[in-house]
Amino acid sequence: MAITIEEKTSALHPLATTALAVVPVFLVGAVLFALLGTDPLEAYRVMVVGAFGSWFDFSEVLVKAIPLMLTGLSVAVAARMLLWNIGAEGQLVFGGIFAAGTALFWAPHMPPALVIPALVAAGFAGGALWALVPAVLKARWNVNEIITTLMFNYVAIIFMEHLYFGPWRDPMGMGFPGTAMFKQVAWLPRFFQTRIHLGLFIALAAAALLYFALKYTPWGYRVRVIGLSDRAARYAGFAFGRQQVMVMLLSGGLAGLAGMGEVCGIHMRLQQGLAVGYGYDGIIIAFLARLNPAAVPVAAVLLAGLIVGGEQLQTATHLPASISLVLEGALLLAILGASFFNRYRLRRTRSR
Amino acid sequence: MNSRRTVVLVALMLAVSLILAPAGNAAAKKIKVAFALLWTIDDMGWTTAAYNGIEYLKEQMGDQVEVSYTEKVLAADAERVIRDYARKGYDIIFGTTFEHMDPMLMVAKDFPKTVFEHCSGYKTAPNMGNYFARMYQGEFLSGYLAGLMGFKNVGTVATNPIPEPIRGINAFTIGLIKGLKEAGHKFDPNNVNTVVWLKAWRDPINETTLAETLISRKHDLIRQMADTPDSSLAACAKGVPAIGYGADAAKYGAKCVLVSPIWNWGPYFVEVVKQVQAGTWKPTPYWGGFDKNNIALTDFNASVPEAVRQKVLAQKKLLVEGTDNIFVGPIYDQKGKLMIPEGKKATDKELLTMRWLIKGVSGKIPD
Repeated sequence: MAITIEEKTSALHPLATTALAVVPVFLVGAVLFALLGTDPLEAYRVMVVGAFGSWFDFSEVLVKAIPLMLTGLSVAVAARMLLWNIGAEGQLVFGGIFAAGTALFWAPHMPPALVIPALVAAGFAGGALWALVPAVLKARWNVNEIITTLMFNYVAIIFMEHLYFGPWRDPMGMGFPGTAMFKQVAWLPRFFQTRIHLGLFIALAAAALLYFALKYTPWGYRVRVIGLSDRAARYAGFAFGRQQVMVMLLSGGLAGLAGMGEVCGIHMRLQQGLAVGYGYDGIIIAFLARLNPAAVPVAAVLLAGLIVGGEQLQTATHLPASISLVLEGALLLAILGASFFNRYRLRRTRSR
Repeated sequence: MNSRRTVVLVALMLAVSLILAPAGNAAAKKIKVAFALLWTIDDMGWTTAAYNGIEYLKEQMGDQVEVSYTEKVLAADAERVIRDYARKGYDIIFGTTFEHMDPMLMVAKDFPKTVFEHCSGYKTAPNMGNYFARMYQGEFLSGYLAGLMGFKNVGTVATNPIPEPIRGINAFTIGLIKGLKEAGHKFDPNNVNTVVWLKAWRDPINETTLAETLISRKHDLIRQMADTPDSSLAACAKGVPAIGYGADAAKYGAKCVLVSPIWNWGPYFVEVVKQVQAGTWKPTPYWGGFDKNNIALTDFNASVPEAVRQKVLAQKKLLVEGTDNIFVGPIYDQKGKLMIPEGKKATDKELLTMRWLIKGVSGKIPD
């Protein structure tokens, strides 16, 4: 007896599969809550109210969603070309490093009006730079980008630690790790008397731009063709390697913007707690959004709601803090499973 | 006055006091206390120690307090969690790790009536104090114990190369050398304690690897400094004794641990709540040691000889009484430069900014 994989002839709409995938996750969560001695309905109520129940809570969900939107876009745009960028985490860190360097050393000598644009540019450049080597390795020698981008994450994090433990350490900080706090001119503006900062609008604009660029421009057409069939793309004579490098740089830059937003909009300094996994969350979001840039912000808000709601649940009921991580992992598994089973079916065959 | 009237009067007064007493209690507002925690309450180290303090607070204050806490509050989330507690009307909010300092300062400005207490930092505000415990005193005693028992080639798995652990390494080494001298052991004055760095507060895999490496290089005692007990566990597995840290490592399976110096936050939490109740709370930089019962030693391992126990407890008694002469000169750095002159005592500021290792420590401060 063996099991074979067969392609299906008919499939549900992708959005329907995603919606269906969410159901078992909530069931798993419900069982988990029950096992931990909490009423599942009450638990979900606390999570929903905690994340979406008031403007303050929702504003914090949006704050959390900002880096998630950008890393989600980063992963999605690369994946549209079948490039698996697992390195959004490291690119986020490098965007943060570049933004912090700009804020610390250049901003005081710059016309104030230029500081914010310079920070944004630096964040994008930092992330793009960190994607450059894996991109060139992939394009020139077909080195597996999953491995290189992943490995680059660790290098980026160690380099960042070196900076704030060593040369960039706050001289007034009593020896504690972390740079000095930036001058206020290098803080991203905040809005609506919440922590929502400029990054939200950058992320939404990036999502809209990418959506239209992929759909309506010749560049987007090439990316989509390469993503559907690289053989067709080569046959059509597209500059394959150059496209790969371009898309990886764009992908890295988007993740870099996420790091810039965290550093200049939330921490106001480079310190421990920047690399907390938003780059990896981006993978979940990209697939939750079916790699569609327009759907990424929605997916990011949902995941951010899960994280913030999970924290509220933890505060209210003192369930283990890992609950939202478990739900997050279950969600990715369910979505990947659902999209697989939407296209294929498993069949038992008699082995001969 | 006749005795009957007295009896009636007393009875009346008693009755009145009984009626008034509960009313008085009900009028005393329940103090709402919140804690932002670094990691999970079962982390077997830093956050477990904070949680034990929370439990102690609940035990001591019972109905007078309402306590809540949030786990895994990292830098990016700190402002949200702290602000949320402030908005919900909590009277006292504790931030229990360094990265909570600046977010807490921001929230403190917006909620002048709320009391904020931050652990292990250095910034204060009119409504924000900071607190920490003199762990180095416990580390000194552990080193002293190890020296008396003749360990002269200690391997230390250190955490982040910042003043707090550096001070602890130095205090341990001062104790170690004192113990070795008193017990008449021969030792190399330049090399009694080798330090390797995790560059993290907790990293179980590296803790194990580094401890095993130190053991393979024939170090005779492993000193844990991480929040997690894995370097002690690795030592026990290889049959080498260890010194725990932060929380009771023996309780988490490291049976070979001779002693663990541990954080004891409970008394301070209670003190702050009582001050807020009484309206006498003021923001202070608070740094208590054995004198304030903020540090404790766990029970000794059965293998620690009685004579050693007595000597360690005698030193502890001095600290409990408030005599702390650990960092009294002459103290030299690794290159032999005199850092604290003869008879002089390091100030708190010098201790809090310490960035050099003393003579006897082998290994560098990485940058």
